[in-house]
Amino acid sequence: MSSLAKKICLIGDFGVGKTSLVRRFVSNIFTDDYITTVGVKIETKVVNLDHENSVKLVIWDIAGADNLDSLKMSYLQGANGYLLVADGTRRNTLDSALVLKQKIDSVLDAPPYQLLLNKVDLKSDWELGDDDYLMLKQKNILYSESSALTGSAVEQAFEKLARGFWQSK
Amino acid sequence: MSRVKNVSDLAKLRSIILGEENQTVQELKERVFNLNRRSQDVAQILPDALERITEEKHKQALGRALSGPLEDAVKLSIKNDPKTFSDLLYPVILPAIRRAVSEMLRTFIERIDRTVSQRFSLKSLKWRWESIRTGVPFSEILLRNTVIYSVEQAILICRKSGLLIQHSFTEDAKHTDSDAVSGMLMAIQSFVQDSFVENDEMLQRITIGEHIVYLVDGPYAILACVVHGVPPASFMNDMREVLEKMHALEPDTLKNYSGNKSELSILKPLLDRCLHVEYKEEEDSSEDKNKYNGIIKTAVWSLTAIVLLLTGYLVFNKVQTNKVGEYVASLNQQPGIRVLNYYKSEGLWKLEGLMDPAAKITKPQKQSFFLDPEKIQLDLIAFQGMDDSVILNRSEETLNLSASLETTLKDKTLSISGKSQAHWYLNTNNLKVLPAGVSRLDLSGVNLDPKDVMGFLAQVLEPPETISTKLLDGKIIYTGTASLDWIESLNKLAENFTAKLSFDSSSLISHEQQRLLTLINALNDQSIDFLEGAEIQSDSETALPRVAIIILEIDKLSSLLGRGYQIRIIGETDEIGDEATNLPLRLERAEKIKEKLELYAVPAGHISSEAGRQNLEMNNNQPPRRQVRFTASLQ
Repeated sequence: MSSLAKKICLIGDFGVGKTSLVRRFVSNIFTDDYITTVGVKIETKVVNLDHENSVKLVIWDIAGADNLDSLKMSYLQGANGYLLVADGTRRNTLDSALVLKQKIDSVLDAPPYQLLLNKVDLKSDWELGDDDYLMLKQKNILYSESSALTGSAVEQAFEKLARGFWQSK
Repeated sequence: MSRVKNVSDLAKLRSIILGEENQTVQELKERVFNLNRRSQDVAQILPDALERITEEKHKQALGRALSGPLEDAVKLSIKNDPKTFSDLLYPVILPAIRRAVSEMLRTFIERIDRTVSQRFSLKSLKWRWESIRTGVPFSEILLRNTVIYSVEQAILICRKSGLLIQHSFTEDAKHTDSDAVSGMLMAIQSFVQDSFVENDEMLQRITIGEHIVYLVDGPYAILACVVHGVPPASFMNDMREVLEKMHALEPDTLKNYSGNKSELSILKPLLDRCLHVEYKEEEDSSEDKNKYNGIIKTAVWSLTAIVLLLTGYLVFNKVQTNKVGEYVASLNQQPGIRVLNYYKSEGLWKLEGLMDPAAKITKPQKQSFFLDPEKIQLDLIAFQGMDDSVILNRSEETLNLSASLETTLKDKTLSISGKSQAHWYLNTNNLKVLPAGVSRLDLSGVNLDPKDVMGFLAQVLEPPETISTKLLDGKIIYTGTASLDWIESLNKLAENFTAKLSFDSSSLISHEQQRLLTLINALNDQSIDFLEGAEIQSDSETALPRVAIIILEIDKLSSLLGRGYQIRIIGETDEIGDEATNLPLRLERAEKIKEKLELYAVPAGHISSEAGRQNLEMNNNQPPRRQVRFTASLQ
């Protein structure tokens, strides 16, 4: 059995559902109070890739912000990858996410990432339109539509990152 | 044709121009395209090429390139022949295991030693009370009061990513997900650093209740130690030394830590060394305290000794009682013994019950720590057991059996067989009371020696010299004369052996028989003379009492010998006178004598009187006389 530990960060605006996504994916050992006090909460999750190999994801759930200040950037140090989260019912959160991505890529040498357009369970309130999808395609940004409520695409996103780590180790 | 010639010329021209180079090209072609040759070349330069790799990135690239094939090669090799690998690893793994086990044992013994030493102290009681009062576990209070400080966890964290590199912890340490904890520590570190200081100064200490987390940082890793209590001032320096050693040992792997803990497992022993417990020295400040502790210790030890002695005594008693019980059970299994009660009194085990005198008692096999056979006193009342073996024992004792005899018991019949002595056979054959449990005695299997019987009879009866004894064809034959009593004794005694031997005493004549014959002859010789007519001659009158005495003795002896007899009194006359006269006279004379004899109380029933026949009653060729004569005969 071969095991690897990798640090990943969850980035996105306030209220896009980062903590809910983590809660959906792992069982918590720290309370959510850490996010409001320290600005980050860390959880772990072992992703079994096959019967022999696994990757332990150390997930840094970083408090949402419109912009990453110096404090939050220090949390990103050494991250092996990140999940960029936007709220599909709030168009502006995608813009923020793309700005954050630019900033992270400049600081962290473009680590692997996954873009999640969250809250797909609220499709009736969806603000993202064809233009947005086209834009993402033009920028060659791969994305998934996820829901912390139904669990749709959540595990797959984490697993995809984990597999990527394993393949590039 | 012209074209062919041109080609040939071109080759010739090339040969002239290139010459040796052409040969070199051929050789190079051979090197490049011949696989064997190429392999030889690579084998030649490979060791040198590997040694020449000095640049770090090249080393890492080579490591990455070789890791896969090497891993596969090792797996295949182990699969094919695990023994080779285990032999290779044996000298490496065994000392490591030995070290780990001895370290674990040392810690374990140290802990037991400390716990035991604290168990009976006054302080311990105080702490126990505190534990009850406050609800804090005793172990925690014990730790608080006996330990100066204890390093419960040591965590090595990647400075850049906050990923956990290695983690060591004691058994008592509370720890959750160490990967998350190390990340959180780094997050807090960053939080504090970014929030409160402007330079890169690190958070060095976090205090939480009685626990302090010490943090020291190196270029690529941070070492965090969770300490309970107060460590010495030099503690952080010690931590730094450890961290420096780690950096010196694995600088590149620490710098480029990929999240694979096994890459840095070499640092684990160094990290383990950080786990350390410092105990408080025993307090001995005041003399009174020492004295008080001494008294307490003495009291505790004395109490312990008393309890141990008491326990020992109870255990000893219990085991001894069990042993005696086992012995009693074994006795009760023996025939003829019934132990009904047993108890200990004045150092002796007294066993009360019943025992047949013929039963055989066994003492305990041997002396043991718990049971001394000499300390067992049997108080058993005699009774008669009815087990076969007891009956046989009893019979052998009662009948005084010799070794040559064997006994068997079936349906209460005691059968004895073998060669026996005459006196034993006589006694046994005439037993009036048989041994208890025996209703019949069977001596048919007993053999007797005739010589022994003969000797025995001679010894008992003391035969007179007139008796001679001989043995003929197994028959004992007695001849000669003896008293009637003796002969009767002989016959009576011999009768006891007739089942086994033959006797012949028919030739024996008793003295009484002889006397009877003599008396009969004497009577036959007697005669009483008459005058003419029926008057007794005066000279013959005196013969009458003698005749009477003889008859009385004959009667007595006949009666004694059981023989019948008849006495005829025969009257006779001389030749004078005619028969008509003489015949009545003869009868008269005979009757007269009979009457006279009856006066002497002779038995008249055995005596008859008759007239003798004229001329035919010649006696001893004597001429007929005027007389009465007697004829006695035995029947």
